[in-house]
Amino acid sequence: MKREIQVFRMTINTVILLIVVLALIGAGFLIVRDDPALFSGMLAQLEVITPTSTQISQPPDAQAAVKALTAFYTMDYTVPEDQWQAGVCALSTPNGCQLIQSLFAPTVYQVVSANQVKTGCTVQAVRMVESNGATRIWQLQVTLINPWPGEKATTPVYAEVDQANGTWLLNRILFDQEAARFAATPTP
Amino acid sequence: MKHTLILLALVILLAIPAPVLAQSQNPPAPVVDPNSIWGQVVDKNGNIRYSNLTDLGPIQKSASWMPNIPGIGNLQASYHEYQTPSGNLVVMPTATTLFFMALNPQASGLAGASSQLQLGTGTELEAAGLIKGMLNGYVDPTALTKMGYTNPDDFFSDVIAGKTDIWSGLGPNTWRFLNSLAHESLTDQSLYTTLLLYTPGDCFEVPGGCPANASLPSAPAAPTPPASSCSIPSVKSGAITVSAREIAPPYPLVVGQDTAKRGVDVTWKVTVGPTHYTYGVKVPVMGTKCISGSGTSNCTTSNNQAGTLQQVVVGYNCVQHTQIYTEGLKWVTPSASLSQTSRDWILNTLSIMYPNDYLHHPDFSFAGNPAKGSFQGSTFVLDFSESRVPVADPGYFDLGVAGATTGTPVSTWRGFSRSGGTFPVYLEEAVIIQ
Repeated sequence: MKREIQVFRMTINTVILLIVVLALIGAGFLIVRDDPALFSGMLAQLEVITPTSTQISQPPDAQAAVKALTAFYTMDYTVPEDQWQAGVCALSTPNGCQLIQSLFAPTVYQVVSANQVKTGCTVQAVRMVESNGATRIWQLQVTLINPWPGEKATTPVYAEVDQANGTWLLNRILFDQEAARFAATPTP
Repeated sequence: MKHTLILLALVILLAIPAPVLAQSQNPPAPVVDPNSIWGQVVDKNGNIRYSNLTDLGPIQKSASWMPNIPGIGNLQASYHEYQTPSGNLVVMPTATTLFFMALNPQASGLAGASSQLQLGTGTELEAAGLIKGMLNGYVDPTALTKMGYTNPDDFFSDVIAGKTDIWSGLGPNTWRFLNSLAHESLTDQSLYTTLLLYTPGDCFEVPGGCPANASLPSAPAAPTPPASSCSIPSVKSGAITVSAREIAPPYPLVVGQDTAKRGVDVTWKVTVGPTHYTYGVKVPVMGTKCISGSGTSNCTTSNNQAGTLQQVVVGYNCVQHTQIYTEGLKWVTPSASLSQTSRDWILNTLSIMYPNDYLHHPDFSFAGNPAKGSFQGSTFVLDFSESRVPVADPGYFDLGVAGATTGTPVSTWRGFSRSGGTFPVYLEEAVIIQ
């Protein structure tokens, strides 16, 4: 006796797809179990490319500082130094760019290379601490997503921004020694 | 009669035979004695003699005295290092590094240099002067006034003393100043204005540490103590003394006021005492002991047997022996340098009477390389004199000697820099008594 079972083509496709998905999940589980660093690396990669969202309510000078510091503190040892410099310079004044290239970049990339840094960051504007016409200094808080050993995640940073042709750009990041005078000022 | 009285009342104690040198001329380029320790580094025109130096390469090191980038760390200090044929180390910091070295002269090793040479027209070598020179045109007078400084020099002195910070004096000019430093410090285009020299004995003072690729003489192998040595040998190096004085004339004038352009005669004396190498030698102590055996019995041993008295070793004394090794001088450079207080007096007080006053020739150095001295007994003595030194700045000159000893078979050579005395140089001034 011959029984005929009717199976729809769509059901067959669904079963095959389910088997493939289960196989992929299983393989992925085995890989992560063997090399947990791979998973965290992939996660960090995703975090690195996630930009800090600039709060729309912030004034444009603060937004400029946030954007520039985000570019500055987004560091990846696999990215060439020139590329990192170009990213920061695009958000800096010409003078600020020169300072980045000649004064800051050698030190930043020495640290990035030595510690194999691969991190993104979140930057929040805290308050404006000085205003001198078209030049303003903002206190910001930078939080590294993946800080390297020995480095704390959250750091106060003071950035000077300059307005030229209606656009606010980063002029420079103040050294800790220089910013000490603001740190000593109580928050109003 | 009235005129005569007035003339009598105006007693000129000291007439000024000549102006205190031309006040309006530009400061001269550094004069480098070709026989001095700088003679191997810079030619008489002030050009660096790169072909005469061993290039130890550019050095970049993290330094705690450099400013801190938030969340990153200290800016890297950058130098180019060279070694002279006689072994001295020459460090040329970039403009940025030099500026922060001057802000932190002790921690950075700037103050530990055996000698400094400023290229170009600058004559200020001490930290406050360096900062002042580098910040020329960048300090914001309004900011200084707000801080309560009427004299900018007081601000620079306070910065060095740690009483205030440099940033507050720069105000809105900070980025412009940092940019100028950065521009002068660009890789391969660095503008080196200050050269620091360290004798090999002071290699540990070199900023960033003694260069690993410097060729430094190694300590000689100590003589092997005798087999019967009973104590650890010790080496005590001989004392190095420096004395110096001005011989003539009794009251030297600055050459600008001296029609005879006499200058001063100066003498230096350096002595190096002998090195003492002490070691212990086991010396047997003899005594009599009753030993059983053949021969006529004349005593009883400890176990009541008949024996004979014999001379035997009953112990050892560790007797100290001292070997003396004489030590000479490999090279010396006597110097005469205007004291800091006199420099300050010229630039801050005298300049009120003589506007645009400057230091004409505050540093003299004289070669004695190789050192020509002789042994008097076991002490090496070097006498060095220099006649008619054309002192052009009034004040007190410190007399010093930098050099290196030859070492001995039991000790390595030593670098040294010592002061040995001072002498005054006078400036005639007209004083009117009414």
